Amino acid sequence: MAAPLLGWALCAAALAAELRGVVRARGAGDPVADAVITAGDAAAVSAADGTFRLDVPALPASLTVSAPGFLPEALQVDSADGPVRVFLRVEPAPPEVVVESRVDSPHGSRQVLDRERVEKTPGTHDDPIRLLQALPGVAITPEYSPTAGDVAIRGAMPFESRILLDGVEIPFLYHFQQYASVIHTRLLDEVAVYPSSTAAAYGDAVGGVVAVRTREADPAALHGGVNLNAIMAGGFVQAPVSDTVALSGSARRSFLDLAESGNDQYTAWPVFWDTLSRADWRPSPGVRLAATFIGAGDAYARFPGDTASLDPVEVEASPVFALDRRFYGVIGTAKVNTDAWAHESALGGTTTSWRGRIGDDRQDRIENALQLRHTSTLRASEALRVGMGGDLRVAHVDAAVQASRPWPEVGLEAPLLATGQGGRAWTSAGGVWAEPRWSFSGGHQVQPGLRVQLNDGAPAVEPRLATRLGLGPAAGLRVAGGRYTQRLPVDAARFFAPTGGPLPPFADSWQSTVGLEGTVAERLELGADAWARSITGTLDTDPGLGAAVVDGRAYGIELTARYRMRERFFSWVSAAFGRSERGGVRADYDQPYAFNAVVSWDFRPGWNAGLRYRYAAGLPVTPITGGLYDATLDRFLPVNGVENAARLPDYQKVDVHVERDWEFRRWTLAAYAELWWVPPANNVLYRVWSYDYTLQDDVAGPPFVPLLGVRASL
Amino acid sequence: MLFASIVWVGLFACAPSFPVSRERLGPLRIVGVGAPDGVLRAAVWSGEGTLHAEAPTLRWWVDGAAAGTGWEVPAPEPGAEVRLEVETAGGARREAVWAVAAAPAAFSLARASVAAGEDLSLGARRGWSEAAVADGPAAGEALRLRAVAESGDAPPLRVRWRVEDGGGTLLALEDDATDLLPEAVVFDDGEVVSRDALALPVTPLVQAIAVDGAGGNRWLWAHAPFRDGAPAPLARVGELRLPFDAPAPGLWAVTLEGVTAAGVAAFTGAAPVTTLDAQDPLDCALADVPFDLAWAIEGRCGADSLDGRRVVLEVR
Repeated sequence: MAAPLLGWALCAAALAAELRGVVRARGAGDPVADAVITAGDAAAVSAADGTFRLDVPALPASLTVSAPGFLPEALQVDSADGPVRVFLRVEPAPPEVVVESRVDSPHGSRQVLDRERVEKTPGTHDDPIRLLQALPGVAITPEYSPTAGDVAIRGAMPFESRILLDGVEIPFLYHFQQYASVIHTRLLDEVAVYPSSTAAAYGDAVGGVVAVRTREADPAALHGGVNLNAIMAGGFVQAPVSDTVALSGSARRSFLDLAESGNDQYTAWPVFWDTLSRADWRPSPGVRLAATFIGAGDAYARFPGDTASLDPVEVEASPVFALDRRFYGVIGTAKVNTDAWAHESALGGTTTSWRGRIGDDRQDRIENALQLRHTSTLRASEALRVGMGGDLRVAHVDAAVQASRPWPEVGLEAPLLATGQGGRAWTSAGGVWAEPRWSFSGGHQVQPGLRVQLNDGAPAVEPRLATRLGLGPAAGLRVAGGRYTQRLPVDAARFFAPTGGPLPPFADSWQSTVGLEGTVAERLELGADAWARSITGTLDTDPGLGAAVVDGRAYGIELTARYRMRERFFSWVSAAFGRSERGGVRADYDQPYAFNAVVSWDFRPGWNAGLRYRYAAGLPVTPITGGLYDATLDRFLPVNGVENAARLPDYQKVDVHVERDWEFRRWTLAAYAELWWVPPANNVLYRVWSYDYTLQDDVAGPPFVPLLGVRASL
Repeated sequence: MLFASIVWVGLFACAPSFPVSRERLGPLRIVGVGAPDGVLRAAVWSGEGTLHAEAPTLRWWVDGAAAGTGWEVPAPEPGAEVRLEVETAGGARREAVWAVAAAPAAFSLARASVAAGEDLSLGARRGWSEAAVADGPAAGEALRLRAVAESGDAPPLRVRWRVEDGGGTLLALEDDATDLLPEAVVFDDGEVVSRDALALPVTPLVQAIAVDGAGGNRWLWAHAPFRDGAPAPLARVGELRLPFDAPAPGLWAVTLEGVTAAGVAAFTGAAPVTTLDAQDPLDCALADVPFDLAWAIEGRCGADSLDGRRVVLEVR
């Protein structure tokens, strides 16, 4: 028997092998420590540098590799020659699309767009912020319409809401006609919307607050990527400098202007660009410092009139209207966490130029602003947290106007040229606040707050209250409300000589929200919010027609349902009903009903398909009852009916998104196709009239728009 | 949201086209208000044809106060704000406002025949060769009209042109000149979509109105005769071309036959006269001057009051 045993032993020795290898994260390439590598009964654990050594009884061997935070990987090894390289895929984040009313939020309502999955949501064109109007309470406006990209929250005018980037206000969120937001997708961390009844931390807004947060750069790995679609191209990079310092940057630009020199209406094809850079430094545990630079701009030139109504000589003689608006901002942020305290500060400066030219006429509006925001939170006990802080924004507006006549034709794009009025002014708004929050067992919370606000020097005391009544482990009732004030918009208040009564010191609003939230079977989340706000002493501005002091009110309810299956599928439905009035008539963004539905499904590995549907009431328009012949200029003037007494047709739109992802060892590639469809009956961007205002017709947007794009990233 | 005065042009929007346009005289409309002779004057296009079945009613306000009705209201001082309401016999109303100002210099039209090429762009048309004509262009060609001030030192005229519906296509050439093509030309997004020739002969009515932008308005009416063969004799009354033979300039008496809103069917019994005695008395007309056909075009005289009446015209 000795010979067979020896033969078996020799054979076994010949087949057994020692495998050496390394485990890395797919994409970033970082070594993965503590990965468990098994082959039958044999097992090994990767070291800190990702390397491992494993004795296998025979080759070929089937290996299984797993590590916390990564998806397990199986592979077959045929040879022991050379190291075995294993790349693990990072376990995907939960498919959070819209997170409603987070329990720990101090605000009456809070909705969040999360970048990770929203990228694949139809209709975003690879730009999650475009999904903002899908949130309940945010008015839905058709793309490419005059109101495209306007952020009108719960019946408020766009200028009554604030858009904050890392705590600092920026002048606009979208490029021309909402083609894209001003922030590159990959440097975006979160977009939160506080539609009304916010906590005391936010002031100077009688509407809502949109808080955009940029992404902290990863100090551990190099990331980068390019993106290209039919509208724009861009790229981003995140690079570690040291263990504690990392840099990131992005740039994007539209490129249709390079292929199109213009058409009969646009003499210079629109172009937009944006760039964002960020430096992160973690000098010590609990301390995070960041400096962010952002710039964004739009430019184009067009005939200010409708060339279809002009004769050839007038077209030739018509001065071209050229628009160039841009802003730059530098923002420094600091976050310090200790056992008891959390501090967060932001200091920023922005400069915004808004230039318009028509022949020798021009507007040059320059606004330079310095902003400071600080929040400290004291974790006094498990039951008590105390928030406190302050903010200040000081700005100087230099609105230089040279106009041989008012140009109402460009009132939407150059309001100063439209009125022919400008000036210089300082404006400021700021406040200090304190807000304790008591939490009780059962999910109950009480949070009284007080904010003392100064709007252009006029003081206001703003009491606020937010409460939550726990209704079991998965449900709660929220009640919030308070007083909110806002400085009046500089141009309208100082330069346009508002009518309608004495100019109030600020706009004043009382707001309340009642919300019910609950989760069923940990997959279905339901929410219902009822809200109301009154506004007194705000300004109603119409492009080219000046401003008037008015009061207003708005109220509504919002219903949301979200069903999620982790990893593969999510669906989300919302319905909003509300009314908004200004000066006794419908407000400009009064939208009695709006409905949104989103479904996204990873139906095969590497494949995703999504469908988004929205339906909303058309926005109000002022009917024109006829034309008045102006014999002085041989033209017709419109005779307006009751303001906002009519509406555009209801709007509905379907977006389809299909995406294919390929993962390579060190980089990933995604290609996607989007298609939108708008039914003809609901495809109205704006209304036009014949030269004499006797005939009316609707201008339709494109019914089908296909879009192809690719993203590649390290 | 008052977008009425805002011109928003979506980059990818699909704009509709209307069956009416500024340069086409179609439905009822006021096409001019002025005071060239110290009297408030209005031009009303009936929308029924080149004439009015019945004269509309004019009501005038000056600086908000009622100033009178009809066609003989004295003009206020320059700077006054005039409001006009026109009401037809059928009850249709149109309104106009006007800032009173002195009228530009009187002008007449220089006519030229131009061969219309394929390219209708402004640059191409400026290169077309002209041949001066007295009435209409050569067969198959377009008519170029240019306003010429009667006073040599008058400031340049800015003229707008209108042609009766179905009377061809106007394409402005200069501030004071236009081309009238005997074709229905359809443009889309600045590009020619179709060109359909009019059935000839045709003599569309054209209005040329000089507008200085400050209220100074003056206008005239002209015929643009496009023929298909040999020219027929035409009487030149101002810039109008009437179908009767008047070989010598001077006063000519004619009988207006078959006058309806569509126009005058025939000018019969043309005969030279030396006084206005041959003219039938007309309530709508001034008694001591030759009959002005603009009164019929603009609405001062309705067709019902002119049919079968004998008038004296001043032929050039």
